[in-house]
Amino acid sequence: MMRLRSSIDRWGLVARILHWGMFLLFGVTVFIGFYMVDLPRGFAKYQVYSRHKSLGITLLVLAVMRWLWRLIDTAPGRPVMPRWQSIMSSAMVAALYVVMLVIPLSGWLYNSAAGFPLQWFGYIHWPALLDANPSIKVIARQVHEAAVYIFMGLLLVHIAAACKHHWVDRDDIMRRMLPFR
Amino acid sequence: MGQWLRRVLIVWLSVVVWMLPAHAVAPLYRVMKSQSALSFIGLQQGDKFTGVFKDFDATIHYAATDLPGSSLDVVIHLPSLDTRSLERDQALISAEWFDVGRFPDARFRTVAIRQTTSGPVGDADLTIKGRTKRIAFPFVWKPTAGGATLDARVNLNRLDFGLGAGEWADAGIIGHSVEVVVHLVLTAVPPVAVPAAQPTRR
Ligand code: HEM
Repeated sequence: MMRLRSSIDRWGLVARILHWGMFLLFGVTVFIGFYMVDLPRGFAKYQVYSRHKSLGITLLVLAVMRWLWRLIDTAPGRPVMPRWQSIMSSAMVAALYVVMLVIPLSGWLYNSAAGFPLQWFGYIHWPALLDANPSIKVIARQVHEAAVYIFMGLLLVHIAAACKHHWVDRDDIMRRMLPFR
Repeated sequence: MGQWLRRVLIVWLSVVVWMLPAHAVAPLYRVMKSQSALSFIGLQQGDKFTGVFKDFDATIHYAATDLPGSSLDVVIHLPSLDTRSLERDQALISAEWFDVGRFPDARFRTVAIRQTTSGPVGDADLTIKGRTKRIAFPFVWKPTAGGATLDARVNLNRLDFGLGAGEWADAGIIGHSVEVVVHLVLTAVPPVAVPAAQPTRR
């Protein structure tokens, strides 16, 4: 039977769906983000920006759900590993959890400071964080981009670590998060 | 022509000349730009946004008692548009919207002003992006010490002027109706004394 909650040796269904769902959505959103900024001004650019923002807001909501679920759920235990590895692992996870919030939050802040309205996929009105503000706009823009690069760096380490566990240490760290067994 | 007839003619002409500047046009007013605003309220993705045109010139002649001699003539310099969003401003001045490269000015000019039960209404030709449309322009005129204020709200359909046609025509993205809000603070310009037009009294 599929388990929603995690157990000692396996991530539950909710955790796995959030993990892989966000992985895919993040990929799409980052791709659109880099692609859209160089588009010539016009309707197409406007539409692509709107999609990017809606996807980003979706990721923000998912990130908040993931935070909450992580607090409710009990994560599987760690195999025995050196102390430095255990500290690094906790730091990595903490950093990922922070940056996955910072990216969409800074995007939302940027959009608000730029004085732009936002509707989630054209259906739900999404409020602005503050009034148009040129100086906050510049900062939020830089944070948004920097956070994406930091996140991609963290992700690289994260994936490398998963692969090392799977193929070098031959433990089940990777397998227990895989979507299917 | 007899002497008497000539005198009558001279007096009559003098009176006509004296009355001409006073009655061909109503008194002139100048806009106090720092206290006035020419703004508009649009709808973008269901959210209201406000824009202003910071630069415009207005020639206003008005007297409630002389509507045929009254007129409002405003030239709006479109590149001075400001909607509190750099991206939106850049989009609005581009070819799909105001196209300020080809049409830097919009013009509003009354052809007549009539009195209605709810106040004066101007019938005006509004030209934006090379397209002229006759609109009704009801306004409130309040005399003040040394001048007057003029307030008006009019709804325009942006598509009437080819603003955001084609793909942008979708009202869900940018609403069709745009409310223009006019608030002008005016000072009366004293009539210029023209010596030749002074009455010759005997
Ligand atoms: C986790 C979600 C998000 C990811 C991964 C993401 C990623 C990106 C990336 C990679 C760029 C391109 C940066 C560059 O090349 O300079 C970008 C730009 C942008 N993002 Fe996001 N973004 C996210 C969420 C959001 C949200 C929620 C909003 C707004 C509500 C937003 C608004 C923007 C805007 C407006 C730009 C373009 C900035 C410009 O034109 O200069 N993003 N984003």
